Amino acid sequence: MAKRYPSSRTNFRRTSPWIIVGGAICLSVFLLLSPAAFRKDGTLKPVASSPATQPYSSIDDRSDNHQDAGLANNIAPPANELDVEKERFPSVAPTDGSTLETHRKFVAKVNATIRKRTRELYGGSFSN
Amino acid sequence: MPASLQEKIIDILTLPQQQLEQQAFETAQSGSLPDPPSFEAIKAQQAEQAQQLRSVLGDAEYAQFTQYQASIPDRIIIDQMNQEGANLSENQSNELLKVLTEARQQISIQAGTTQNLSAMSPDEAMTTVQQQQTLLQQAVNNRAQAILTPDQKTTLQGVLSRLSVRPKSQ
Repeated sequence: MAKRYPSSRTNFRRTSPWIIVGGAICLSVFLLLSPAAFRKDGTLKPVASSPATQPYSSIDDRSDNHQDAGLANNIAPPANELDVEKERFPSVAPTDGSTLETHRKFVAKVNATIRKRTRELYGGSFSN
Repeated sequence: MPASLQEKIIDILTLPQQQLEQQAFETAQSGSLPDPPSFEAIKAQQAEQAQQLRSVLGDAEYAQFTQYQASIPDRIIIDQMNQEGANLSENQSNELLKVLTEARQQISIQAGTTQNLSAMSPDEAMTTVQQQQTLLQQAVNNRAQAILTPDQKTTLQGVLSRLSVRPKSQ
């Protein structure tokens, strides 16, 4: 006796609920595992700047998305933190005399300002 | 006070900032971010600075100097009020300075017996400082009533409020 195979229509009816249920589970798992991928305003945030993959939030993230702050604090920094840091903040070692000279002038100006403000603050005690 | 001694004192007072700048520059040269100084390092630096000032000024003048130093926050408040048009007379300035300094000392003494900020967590310390600021504002507002005009009092309240440590935004 020839074996009766279900038609493709019946097959679809049987499998479609499982496809829908499976898809819903996958979507739920994705949403649970990646809340940081969504911003407060509902727009999708680039995955690259998610705290889960980045040791430090950017300045913008700190100021406008406090929801991520707690999550970011709980994430252990990666072992290559120093490399990432160096990549984000490349060396500013002066390579020529003019850079050093600019820095020297800048420091002299800052120090002069600090001395002036200190003199103003303590002026009363100096006049005694 | 002789000009040379004034310069020496300013040297001592500004040295920590200059060292911080230098350290930050050297750290940046190596491609790293400078670490903020630890609480212990700051305390050690303050102790060293106090020792240097004492050796330059002598005990009696150093005592006067520290008294003046403690009143600087209150002098800033009065200066800020005048910048905002309070036009305090010399008598009013002196009286208000006395009120502010006494109230601050009183609160510090009361708090000092029960609270040690350095032993607290940052959040607890912040809350304690905010409570002390509220007490200071209340004490000063009550006592300044006899010294200031209503407009000057409003200016004082605004200045005190702006100079206070604010709670962290949630």
